Amino acid sequence: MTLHECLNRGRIKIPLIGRDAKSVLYEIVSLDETLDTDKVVKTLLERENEGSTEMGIGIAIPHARIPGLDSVSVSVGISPEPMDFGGSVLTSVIFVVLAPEKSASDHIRILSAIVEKCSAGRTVEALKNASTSEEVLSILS
Amino acid sequence: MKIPFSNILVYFDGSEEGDDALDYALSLAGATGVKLHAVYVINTKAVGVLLKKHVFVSGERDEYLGDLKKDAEKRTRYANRIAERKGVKIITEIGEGAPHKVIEDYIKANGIDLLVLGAVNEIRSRRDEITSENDRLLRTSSCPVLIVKR
Repeated sequence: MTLHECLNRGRIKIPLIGRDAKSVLYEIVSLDETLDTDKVVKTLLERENEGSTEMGIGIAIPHARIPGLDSVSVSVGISPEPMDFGGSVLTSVIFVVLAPEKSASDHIRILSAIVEKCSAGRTVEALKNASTSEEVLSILS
Repeated sequence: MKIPFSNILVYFDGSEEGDDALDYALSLAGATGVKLHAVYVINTKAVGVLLKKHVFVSGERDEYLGDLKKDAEKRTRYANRIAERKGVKIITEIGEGAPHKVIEDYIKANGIDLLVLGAVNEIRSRRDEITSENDRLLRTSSCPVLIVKR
């Protein structure tokens, strides 16, 4: 399973409208109509309360294990105005990673792939400036 | 015809690709009668990076490592069970660390002459080559490599 396989253009939101973690998580999670948005957002926020997943570069990766999922899914939201996601710097790009309960290996692999992709400064800048889903898919492929 | 290998090593990690490699290696060892080494590597290096980058909190790291250990034990039990059924001589081991390093060390220490891996990624960038453990092993292994495509 690769990051590319977990992404699709229907799960990319640009621009995010919300100005706080809860609002933007609702925007991103609701892209997948098969999910119980309230429940998933609550789970993600509980995890964020233990420590923000903002990486110190304006990118956050909120993630959770969700019972009933078949495979790892990745959704992306980009905020034109950096916002407070609880980390050390303001956040522009949010990856929501949801994984089945028993898939620790795949979950770690996808989180690691996102971290690796975002370790290149030019990738981070390109994501922050992306204005279409196609651009995001191109940057991450 | 003489079989050109006598010690097969299969690397698996709980992924679907790793399971494919394990099943193929069990069949190959069964058909050729050579010894199979099945090594599950818990990627503690990746977990450490996630903690360092604030993607994981420490409690989460421990939880995931615990789950990976349980998965490793479950899958090595499966490998032993299938090997016994097929009459395959098998050694199973659970390693921890950076998979490419653990596997290369195992190859050198145990006279491995065929490494079986799951599918490699479609290469999209130089970074993909660097970050995929299967891709890295394919390129750096000191012994012949057999890739099991999905």
